[in-house]
Amino acid sequence: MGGSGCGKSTLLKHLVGVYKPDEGGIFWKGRNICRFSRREMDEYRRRFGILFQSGALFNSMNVGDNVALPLREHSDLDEKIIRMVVKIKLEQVGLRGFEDLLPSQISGGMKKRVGLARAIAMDPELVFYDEPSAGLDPIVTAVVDQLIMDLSRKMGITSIVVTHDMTSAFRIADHMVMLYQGKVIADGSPEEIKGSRDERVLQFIHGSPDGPIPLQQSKGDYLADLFDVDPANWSRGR
Amino acid sequence: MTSMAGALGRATFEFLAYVYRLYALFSETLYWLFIGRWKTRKKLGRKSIALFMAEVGYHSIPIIFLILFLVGAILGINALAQLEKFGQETFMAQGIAVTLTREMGPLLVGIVIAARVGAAMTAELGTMKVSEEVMALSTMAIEPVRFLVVPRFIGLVVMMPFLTILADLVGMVGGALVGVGIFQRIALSEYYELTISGLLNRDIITGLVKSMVFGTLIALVACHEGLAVEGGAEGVGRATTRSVVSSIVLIILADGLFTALFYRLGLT
Repeated sequence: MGGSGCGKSTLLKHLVGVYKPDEGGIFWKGRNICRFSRREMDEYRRRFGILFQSGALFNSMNVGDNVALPLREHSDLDEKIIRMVVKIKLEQVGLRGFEDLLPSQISGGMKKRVGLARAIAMDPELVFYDEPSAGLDPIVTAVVDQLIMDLSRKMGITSIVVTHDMTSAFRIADHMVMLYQGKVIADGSPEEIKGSRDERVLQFIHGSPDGPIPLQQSKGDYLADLFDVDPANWSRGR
Repeated sequence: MTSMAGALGRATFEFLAYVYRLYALFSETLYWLFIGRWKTRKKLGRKSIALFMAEVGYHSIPIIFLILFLVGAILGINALAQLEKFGQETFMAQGIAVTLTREMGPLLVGIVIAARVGAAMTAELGTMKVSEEVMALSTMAIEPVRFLVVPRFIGLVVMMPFLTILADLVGMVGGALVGVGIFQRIALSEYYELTISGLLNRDIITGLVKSMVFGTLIALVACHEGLAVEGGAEGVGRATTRSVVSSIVLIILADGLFTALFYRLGLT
């Protein structure tokens, strides 16, 4: 978790192998995914699902085909079985019967749930969520949170959730990490995070406008920018 | 002068870099078309290939029909105007047939398809890119080139020759309307016989080869521009414009190169 622009989504894209880090490594079951061959990366990607912020459904396909896509691509299952699996997955997210609708015909919350059904279609070990509650009303957010918890508790799926929604984060998390300006500033259980003495963490979890995390640049920076001079010279000149 | 030379150098370098990027996409497309799908046992979506073939072929028929019919009629009027000075109006049939099959047919079909289908492909792929759909494919271990580019490539390369044959025929009908119907300088049976006798196999084959090359260029440019989109709706708009302009420039360049090559090989 962390504020906008702190690097949460960038970190997530590194974890799923979309970006490669300049240095360091990303380890999965003791193996550095940055050194994976194309085939190993494909194998790794089949073990996880990902729910994108926008849902990232394919607009040219209906809901059923969206959920069926990874099954059709990566399994030799009969079409009849695939349709059955699609129904099961849609039932898990509360959307059975919506198979024939196009993404443009359903709401934002439903798109997220279809995205989640697609993410779990291959029974992954791990599901990544990028801002699952972004743009959703509190009730739909609670429904999505409940789905995430159910998947973790009933099916043993590990969930890694990127969010800045504190209510949602404290509802679903067993372990929390907070980023600030690209660096980890807190790492622990929800209780440990709540009990943190770091003022940046406290300001963020309480959503306070006053604190060490600035919403605006300093007045000196603003005036230097306004008059197009170097901020260092501006301060010296004052 | 120095800045002009620098600008020319930069433009040349950018053009070569662009051609290299198209080549890289072409080789990746051929890999998935001929090698990758057997090696990895991954399927090409037959349904999406059929959809793109219909989009390129069937849905383009009305506009190709209209444009080539009019171009055939215009060619007919110009041919008549010149040939009647020498009392050789009947040669208009051969002139129109050869001009259409070798040059105008494939070129105009290429330009129309670049504007109609290439632009739509770039806009669709660009929108998919900005709405994270392309990234979603990658993270599901589904190769975007196999899934998105190959069906579009097949659709264009397979359907372009069919459209070109249709365009050639419609253009000849347009010419016949002028010479046989409106100005009545030649009988229909004579027009037909002169068209058939004036056309050589190599005229038709060189035209069809060109049309397949133009289809390849349109597919590569449209897909490359779409998958390279950055920056939301504005980026999609810019890429779509670039796609149409680049496709048309490359089609005309390729047409010039092929015409010179066929001349050199004695296929004119």
